[in-house]
Amino acid sequence: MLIGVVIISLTMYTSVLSRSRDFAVMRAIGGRRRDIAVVVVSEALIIAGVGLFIGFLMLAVLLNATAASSIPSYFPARIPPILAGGTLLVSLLGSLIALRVALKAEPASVFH
Amino acid sequence: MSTLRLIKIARDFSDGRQMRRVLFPTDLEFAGGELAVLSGPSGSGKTTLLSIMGLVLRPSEGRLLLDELDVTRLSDEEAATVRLRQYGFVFQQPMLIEGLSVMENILLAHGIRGGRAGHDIRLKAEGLLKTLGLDGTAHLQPRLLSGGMKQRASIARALIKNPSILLCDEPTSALDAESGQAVMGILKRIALEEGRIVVVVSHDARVFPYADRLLKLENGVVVSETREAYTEANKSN
Repeated sequence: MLIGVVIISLTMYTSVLSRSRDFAVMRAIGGRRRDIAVVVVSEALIIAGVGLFIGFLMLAVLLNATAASSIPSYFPARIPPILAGGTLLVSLLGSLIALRVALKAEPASVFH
Repeated sequence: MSTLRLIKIARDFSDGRQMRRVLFPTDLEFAGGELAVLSGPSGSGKTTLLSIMGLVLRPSEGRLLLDELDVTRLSDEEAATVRLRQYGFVFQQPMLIEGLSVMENILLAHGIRGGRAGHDIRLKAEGLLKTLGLDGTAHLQPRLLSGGMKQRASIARALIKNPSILLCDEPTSALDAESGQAVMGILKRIALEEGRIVVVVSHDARVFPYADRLLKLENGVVVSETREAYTEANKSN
């Protein structure tokens, strides 16, 4: 879980840092800090959602492929929701540093 | 028409050890229907003045009245709301967001608080693009436009919310002479025909002939103000 938080933190941090100017523009034209927060958190959740979809799709393929084998894969039904919840939590935790960077974007910085 | 009044507006900055005054108490009034140019050497305080007028920087002293409403000490959120409703900005660089199309950039202010631009707003955006000579570029990515086209797209972004005040920071400095003239012509028309307050910060002398009012700043002080006569004098030269 810690590794997941670190990877997502770095990815989101790099992404947000490279777009600091865009966030400053959004603030200058009337965006509030909470509007910026919505953008960053939404991105984290979209990344998590896409990751979950791909992960579950691969899991389904694996389960299907091994269903007829003498050693079928077993995956309890209670695990996917726990994994999904954990992934979303990791993504949100991972986006906190990026969120801090994005919220620091000052609208005055768009003027030279 | 809107009015913007600055009453004894001053601004200090800290250099870490002591406070330094970059803008001395300034009284100014701007009304719709004229293009004002703030000029002066680098470090003269013109961008600080523009930032205060644009509610992105709080003054250290003085009062700022927008349509006689005191907007000097608005909260961060209140200032953002006033900027969204009444201000348009044109920056030195067009600052269009890559990854969004020209149309999406123009509609940014409409979507920034989770709203969605309706059909009429999209029509208005298309009309602005046409007026600004950007017909057929709505679906393009900003990187495919020339510098002048990007700057005109940023003017469209500034105008989509029908702002009463348009603040421009060196809008021609990154442009060639022809594009710069086109942009200044558009800003002049916006001021005169649409009755908006248009304030342009520039140290580019080629901008001055477009000014109805030319304010010169030096060391944080407005040292001279010329109205109309300046433009006429230049026209006759």
